[in-house]
Amino acid sequence: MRVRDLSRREFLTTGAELAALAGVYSLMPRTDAAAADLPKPGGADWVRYGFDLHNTRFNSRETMIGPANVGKLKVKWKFDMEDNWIGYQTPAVVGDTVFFGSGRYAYALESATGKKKWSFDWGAGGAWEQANATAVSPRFWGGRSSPQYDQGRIYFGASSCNVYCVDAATGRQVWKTALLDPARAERMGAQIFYSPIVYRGKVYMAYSGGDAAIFCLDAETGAIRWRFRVAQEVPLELEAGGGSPWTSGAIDEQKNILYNVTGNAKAVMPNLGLYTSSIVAHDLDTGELLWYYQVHPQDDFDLDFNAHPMIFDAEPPQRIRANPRNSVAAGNKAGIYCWDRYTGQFFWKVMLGMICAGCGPEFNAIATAYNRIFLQWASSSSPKPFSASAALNAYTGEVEWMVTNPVVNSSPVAVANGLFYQGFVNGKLESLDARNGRTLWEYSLPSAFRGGFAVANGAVYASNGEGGEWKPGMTNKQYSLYCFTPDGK
Amino acid sequence: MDEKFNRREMLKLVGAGAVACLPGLAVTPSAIAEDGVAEVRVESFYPRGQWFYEPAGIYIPVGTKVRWISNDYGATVSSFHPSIDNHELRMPEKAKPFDSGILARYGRYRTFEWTFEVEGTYDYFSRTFEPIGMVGRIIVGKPGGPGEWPPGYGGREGRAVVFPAQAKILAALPSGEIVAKKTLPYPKDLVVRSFPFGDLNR
Repeated sequence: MRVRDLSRREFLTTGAELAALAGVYSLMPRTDAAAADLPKPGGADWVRYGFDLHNTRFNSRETMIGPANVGKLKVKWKFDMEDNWIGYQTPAVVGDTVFFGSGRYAYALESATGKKKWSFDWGAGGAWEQANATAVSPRFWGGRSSPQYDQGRIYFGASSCNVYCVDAATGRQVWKTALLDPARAERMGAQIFYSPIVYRGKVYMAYSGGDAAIFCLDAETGAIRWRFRVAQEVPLELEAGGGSPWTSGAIDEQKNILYNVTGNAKAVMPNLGLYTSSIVAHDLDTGELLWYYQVHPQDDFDLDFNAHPMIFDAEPPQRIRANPRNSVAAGNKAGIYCWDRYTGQFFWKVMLGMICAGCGPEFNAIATAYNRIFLQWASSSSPKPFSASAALNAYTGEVEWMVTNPVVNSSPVAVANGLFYQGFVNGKLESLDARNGRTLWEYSLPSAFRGGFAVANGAVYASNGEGGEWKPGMTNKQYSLYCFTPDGK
Repeated sequence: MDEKFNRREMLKLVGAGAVACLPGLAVTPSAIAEDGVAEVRVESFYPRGQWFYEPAGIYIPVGTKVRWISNDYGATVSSFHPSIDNHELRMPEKAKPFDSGILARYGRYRTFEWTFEVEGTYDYFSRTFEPIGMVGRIIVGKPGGPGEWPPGYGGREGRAVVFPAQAKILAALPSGEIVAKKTLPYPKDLVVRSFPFGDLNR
C-alpha cells in the first residue's frame, strides 16, 4: 500500500498503530538471539570489569568460596589464547558462560568446562593492522578493555579505538562505533584501555592517547550521545593534551552521575592543564561537568590516576559521631584519594610507599567492601622494589591492616566472601583473609598476572600476561585464562 | 702490546689522558653520525618533570641533515619563527621555518628530519613544553643572525613571550662553546620542578 493512497484518517490511524507497535517492540526482549542460546544467569555473576556499577570489585553474592575452603582451590580448567596473546582483561561471568578477550579475539566459554562457545575476531578486515599502526608498544596491542554483559549483549573496546556490541548468544556483531578516525588514532597513539560501563541504554567509554576523551554512546545503536575532551586547555590542533582515562567509570544511580579519573598531562602549557590528573563527575544523560578535583596541575611527573573510581557510603568509626559519608575514592601513582561524591569535597589521602611513574595501586589494584578500601601499592622505585597490601578504613583512610610483598603488583584485585584476592608481576596469585591480611591460598601462573580477578558462582578466574615490554614470539610461555574451584571440581 | 714507550711518548700519552678527563675540556663527539646525519634525542625524565633535547646544542656544517628521535609522546621540534605560534625570529632571516608536529614514541611519527642550508644560529622549541624550558640550539657553519639576539627581544614587536626557563637554558648554550665542543648536553640541573609531594597535607 502506498502512502499516497491513504485518506488522512487512514494515514493517521496507521501511523498511530505503527507508533504503538514500535513502542511495544522496544519493550520486548531482543530477538537477535534465541533466548535459549543466551547465558543462564547464576546467583553470583560478575558481569563487568568493576563487578558492579559502583566499581567495587566486590562480589557480595558469592558464598561458595570462603576462608574455610579457599586453600583447596585448584585449576579446574584453562583456556589457551588462540593466538597466544597476553591476557589483560577481567572476564565477565554470567552463569554458564564466561566472556573474555585477548589479542584480536573476544571469546565466550562454557564456565563449567572452558570449552569455547564462540569467538569474535574484531581484528578482521584490516582492523588489527590499523590498530597496530598506532604509536604504542606491542604489549598494548589487542584488547585491554574488559567486556560487560548486559541484556544479551557484550560490549567492549579495542585498540583500534572502535567500540563493539556483540550478540552474547552467537558472537555476531550488532554494531561497531569508531571513537576516533584511524589517521588521528595513529598520530595520537590512541587506544581503548577503558572498560565500558553500560547502564540504562547507554554505554560509557573513553580512549586514551595523545589527547583523550570520554564518550556516551547509545547502547542500541552505538551512536555517540555526548563526548568530553579531557585536556580542554591545550589547543586541539596539537593533539597532545593527554588526560587518558586508563580505567573504567563508576555510576551513582541515585543522582545520575558518572565518575571518571584521568591521566597526566601530555603538554605543559601556561595553564593548569585541566582536566588532567583529575576526577571528573558528569551528568549521565547530558555530559554536563558537575564537579572536578585536579590532584596535580601541570603533571609532567606521569602521576596518572591508575585505579578506578569506586562509590560507597562510608560508616564512621565508633569514636566519631557523624552520618555516613557519600564517598567516591580512586587511586593514582601518588595516593588513594577519597571525596564527597556529590560535592567534590576532599576527605582523605593515603600513600603506602614510593611515588613514581610505576608506583601506587598499579593497575586498578583497589576494591571496596566491609566499610574498607582494599589495595595493593607498588613501590617500584624503591632501592629494592616491593609492594604493600592493605585495608583502609573507608571513612578515615586509616590503615587497619597491612602486609608487605617481595614483588610489585600490576593488576586488579577482588574481594568476595571474606577474601581479598591479589596477584603480582611474577605470576603469583594469593587469597588473603580480608579481616587481617593472612595468606590463605597461593598459586603461581607461568608469567605476570595483569588482567584482574573475577570471582563468581564458586569459581575464581585469572589470566597471565607480561609485566614488561613484550611482543609476539618473545617468550615461549603459554598465555591462558584459568578457572579455579575448590579441589578443581 | 709489549713495545716499550720512551719517556717522551709516555709523558705525551699521560698528559693527553689527563686533559681528556678534565671537566669541560673532554673531547666531545660530533653530533654527526656515520651516515652524515646529526642525531638529537627528544627525551623526558618524569622523576624531575623534565622534557628536553639531548644534546641541547649542536654544531653542524651547512647542508647537514638533523634527525630528531623521540623517546616519548608529546613534544615538537619547532622553529622560533613568527609563523609558529607568533614566536620571535631566532633563526636566519632567509631560512625556512620547520615544525615537526607532535612526535610519538613508536611508529612513523617518532622521527623528524630537517636539512639546514643557511648559515647561522637556529633556536628551536617544543610547542607543548615551552614553560619548562624545552629548547635547543643548532649552529650551522658559523653563529649569527637573530638567534644571537637576547631572548625576549621580540616582545617590543608584539611577539609571544619567551619563558624564563627557556631563556635560562639558552643562556647555558653559548654559541661559541657549541662550536668549540660540537655538542653541548642539556643542562639538567638548571630547571628542575619540585616533585609534587606537597599535595599530601592540603
